[in-house]
Amino acid sequence: MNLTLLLPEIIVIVGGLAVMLRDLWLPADRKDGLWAWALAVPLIALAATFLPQLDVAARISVDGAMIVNPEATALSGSFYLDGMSMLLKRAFCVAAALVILMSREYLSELNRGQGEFWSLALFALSGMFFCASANDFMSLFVALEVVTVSFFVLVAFKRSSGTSIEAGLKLLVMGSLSAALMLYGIAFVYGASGTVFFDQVVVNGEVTRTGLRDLLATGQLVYSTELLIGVMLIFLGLGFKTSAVPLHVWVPDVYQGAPTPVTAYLSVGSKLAGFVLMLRVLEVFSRSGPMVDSLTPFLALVAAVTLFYGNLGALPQSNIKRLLGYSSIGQCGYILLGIASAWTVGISGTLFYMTAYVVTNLAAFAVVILVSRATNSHEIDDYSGLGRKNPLLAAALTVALLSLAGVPPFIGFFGKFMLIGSTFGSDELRWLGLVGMVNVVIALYYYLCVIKRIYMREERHPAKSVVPLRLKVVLAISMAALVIGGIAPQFLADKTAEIAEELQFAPRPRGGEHR
Amino acid sequence: METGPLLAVVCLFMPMLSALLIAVLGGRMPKICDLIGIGTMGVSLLCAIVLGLGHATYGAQTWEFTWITMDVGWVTSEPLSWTLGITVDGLTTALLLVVTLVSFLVHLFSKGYMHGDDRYVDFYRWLGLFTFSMLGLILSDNLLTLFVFWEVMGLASYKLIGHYFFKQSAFMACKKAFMTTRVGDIGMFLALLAIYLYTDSLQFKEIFANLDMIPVGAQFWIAMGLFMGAAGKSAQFPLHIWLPDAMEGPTPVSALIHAATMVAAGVYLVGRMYTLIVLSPGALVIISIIGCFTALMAASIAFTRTDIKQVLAYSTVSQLGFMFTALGVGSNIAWKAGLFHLATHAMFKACLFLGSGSVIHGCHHLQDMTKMGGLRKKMPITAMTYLVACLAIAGFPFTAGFWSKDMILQALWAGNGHFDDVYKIIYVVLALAAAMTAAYMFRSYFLTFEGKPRDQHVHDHAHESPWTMTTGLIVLATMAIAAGYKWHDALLPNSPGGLEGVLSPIATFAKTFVIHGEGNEVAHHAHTIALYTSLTVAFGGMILAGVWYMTAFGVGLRQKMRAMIGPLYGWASGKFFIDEFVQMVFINTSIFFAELTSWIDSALLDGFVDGTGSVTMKTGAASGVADDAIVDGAVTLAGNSAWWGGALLGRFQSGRIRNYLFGAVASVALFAVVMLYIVAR
Repeated sequence: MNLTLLLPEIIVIVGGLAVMLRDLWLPADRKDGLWAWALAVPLIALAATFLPQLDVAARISVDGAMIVNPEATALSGSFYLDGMSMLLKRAFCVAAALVILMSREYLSELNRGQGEFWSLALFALSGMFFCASANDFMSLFVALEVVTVSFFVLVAFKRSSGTSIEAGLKLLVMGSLSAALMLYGIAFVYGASGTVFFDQVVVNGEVTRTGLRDLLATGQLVYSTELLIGVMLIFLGLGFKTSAVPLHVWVPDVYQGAPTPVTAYLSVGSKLAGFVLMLRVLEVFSRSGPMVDSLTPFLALVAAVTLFYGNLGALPQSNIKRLLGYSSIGQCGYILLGIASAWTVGISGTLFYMTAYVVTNLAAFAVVILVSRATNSHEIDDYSGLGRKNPLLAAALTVALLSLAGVPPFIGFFGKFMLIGSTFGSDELRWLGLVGMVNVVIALYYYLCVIKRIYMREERHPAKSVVPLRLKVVLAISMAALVIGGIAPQFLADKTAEIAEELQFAPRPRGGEHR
Repeated sequence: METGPLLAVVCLFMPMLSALLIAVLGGRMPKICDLIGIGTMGVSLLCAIVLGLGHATYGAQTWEFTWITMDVGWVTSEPLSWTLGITVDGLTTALLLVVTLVSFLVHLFSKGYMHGDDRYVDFYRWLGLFTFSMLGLILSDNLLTLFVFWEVMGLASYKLIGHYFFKQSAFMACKKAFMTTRVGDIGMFLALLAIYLYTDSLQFKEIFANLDMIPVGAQFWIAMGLFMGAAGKSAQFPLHIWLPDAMEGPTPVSALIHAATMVAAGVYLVGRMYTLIVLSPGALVIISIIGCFTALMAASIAFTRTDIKQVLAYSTVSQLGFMFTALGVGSNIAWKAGLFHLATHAMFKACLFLGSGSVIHGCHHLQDMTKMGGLRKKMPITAMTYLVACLAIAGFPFTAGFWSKDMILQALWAGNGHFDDVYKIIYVVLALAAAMTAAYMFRSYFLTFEGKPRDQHVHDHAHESPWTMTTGLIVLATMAIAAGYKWHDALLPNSPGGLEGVLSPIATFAKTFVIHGEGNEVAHHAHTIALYTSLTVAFGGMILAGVWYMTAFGVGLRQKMRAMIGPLYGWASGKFFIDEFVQMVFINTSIFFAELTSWIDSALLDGFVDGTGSVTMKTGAASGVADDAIVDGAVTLAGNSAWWGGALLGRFQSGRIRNYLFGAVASVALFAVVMLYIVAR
């Protein structure tokens, strides 16, 4: 047992419990200060991820083949720490910290259950951590459910509001369906392979459990229809978290109905947890050529439909949260482009985009929170004249939306460039790149419609937004990340390229001539 | 980063900083936005001066910023690098000096002129953004960022010209300016694409290194495309129509945009890409002919204007024509002459515009010269500076305009060995235009400042402008003389001393292409002829204007001459009906086509879509799943009905959870079927 590797997880879980207990002892009039406790947890966990003890080589070379380093695994091989999980854990910490900073005002208005809110947010964070490190299907499932169940409660947190309850219920029902699909898929994989472990489990030098990576690498497990159906069902189940078609239907309703800070958290945390698991499963099965050959058209199809659904659906929206909901479906489509291409550059782009997406989307939601506090509305028309009322806020929203749309020089541009570019490496996926480009144009339209209202319309609500210090910090951090990431993207791009190399995806695209 | 590029970068980003600071602080502290603007521009100006003085040390330097390098795997085996850069050489330095000086003075002048304006803060903000984009355009070391700045500048000028947007005329003017220059941009964009296709790069140094990769036939079209973009921005026939209308903007804006910066961008583009353009003698002669025609046409229209700013507007169009005429010769000296005139023109024309602004300000927003007269005593500083600038533009000996115009004529006479007869004709026509320039400029001076007041009321209330405004006038008037000397010396090879360092790299650059003709002998010969010609036309024009407008005899003479030239006067005062022609032929035709396509769209396409839609609805009733696929398909087919498609998708978002569950399970099943089919294939 190598428990040191689990240090960030332990910090978050203990922190969540501590916040819950602290809440019990705090008198009612001092509960507002609890946010600082909650904020400390992801920050400490973030610091912990930089500990040298956690810096273990993820792969080692044995007889010329790169295999998983047992030193980097824990909990009998269920837990695995590599570059991808570290990057994502850091992203999750940043996301959770920013969301906690955003939620304080909302919670003091609610005036109830602060302790539960913070500890649920932290438990969801621990679930995301385990997702990033899951190394077998059981821990994958459990970790994912930790996230989802926490979110059921968080979404329905505003008990006085019918829409919030309804959103929570929808998430619950759709979540159960997706969990069922995923378990069904896991059952298929188990049936075909006889194992749920990604890696073989070695106890005292003796292999006690076989692992999918090894079975696939040695050819003991070959491609079969059952296996394919299983993996496809798992992807569909994970697609629920990432808001991919066909299990995306909950997204607009839940985004609109949930408390805005929760929507923000959902849109980055939960989504990225789904993506990191998609990458992990894809990485395991990319050991088998026929498997990748069959999965690629499937993922490409999902990506294309998701892109069109999200971006076309966003066009007629008049509610900003709903618009961001559809936009989040569209953004999922882009990330799927890179996953479908399944080669180093595509995966690097995927990781780049995922990281960029955290700050971009949170910045947009921070502005949404602030504006709705002043105007008491989420209608896009009520953003008219924001440029005159709150020029800085308007500029922040503009930058965030432009980055989401993929306009240089903001960070989103390079993400989109890498993702769409990765599809052009392969003759079979070139059409998908064109779909992506068409969708860039569609998406630009609805993002620009919001920006047009901000600057070119007379204001409807005279109320100016008051920006508390905490949200100023959120906006400052995310804006700095957006702009610096856009001007100097090299650092992140190098990092993600390195991780993609480590994941051992194909170095060249399938069916692509190296020109 | 070395000192030279560092200075250039500071110089570049100061106006941007100004725009940002004003955007942030302007709402709270509207009083200090002028100080921010003036202060940052002062820093920019200082940087430019240091760069200019130290040019010999800094030399030609470039600085590249690698945005990102990544392995994309599909373009080349090399990792793809995105680099942006700035380049500091003689041409850049010279223009930096011109732009920052004029921009600084305009910022200062506006403090007085725009005082009390409702949108004072907005004005300064856009002024900052405008200057930033102009500096970026000059400093770019590649055509891509040049084009981006080119377009940003278009936007900023749109906002500045439309400053008084509540006036219908100003609103129309800014739209016209934007759209007309966009027409030119089409050519420029195509030229950029062609350059990229042939040379695989948009970096200047790469393009110039790979010129032999451009086929001969394409050279002509690329040159013409670039010139088309230049003609749009620099107001050459037939795209000059936006500039006179753009006088609707505040006068300081006219001084900045229409004298020194934006209109200079086109000339700069041709100058920068000269190594490519000189490859095609046909393109060169076309540029020269269009420039010369524009010079003459605009000069004749300027005679008929009574609005002081309109005279200056047409004069600008005409002077830009001079620059293009020179650039169209395609020799070493022609290149220098064109850009030298750009610099000197910026000085005296900015002075004239600011002078007219001072007059307009002093006469309480009166622009009609027929109501002025005798203002010299009321506004002595304005009158003196205006006179100096008039002398400069007329080509009076030893003023800046004299040297540059002389050089243009000299270049024309020397020719380039290809179409020398054509250039001789152009020479004569341009000399005529120069004479007309002297005459109409002095007409405007005499009408405004000399003679008896024609409107006593205006005259009584006229006053001299405050120091913020007159400072700019004095500096620019000084420059209208001084700019001819040091620069002129520096431009002539073999001449020592002075600010030689500023412009000598131009000379070395210019030597890289062939000088046609027989070297010094021809050049000397041309020089003598050009000298006599420019002296004759300058004095001829000035004396003519003096006789016409300052003597009793002149009134009758004018009428006689007007009768003599017959309908020409009417044509000129109708601006040769180019605006009407454009309206009729281009705008009305496009509106017709727009309506036609809109009709096709609504009657045919929508009918088709509606038909498909209703058929689909009926089919869809049978199966919700089929509905999804077919309606979606039809909608995407319709293309421009994307919105409708979005609304339709919303219908699936009914909010009913049982529908969601059914939809999800059905589509999972559908996916499974489709996938198994694909896999089984």
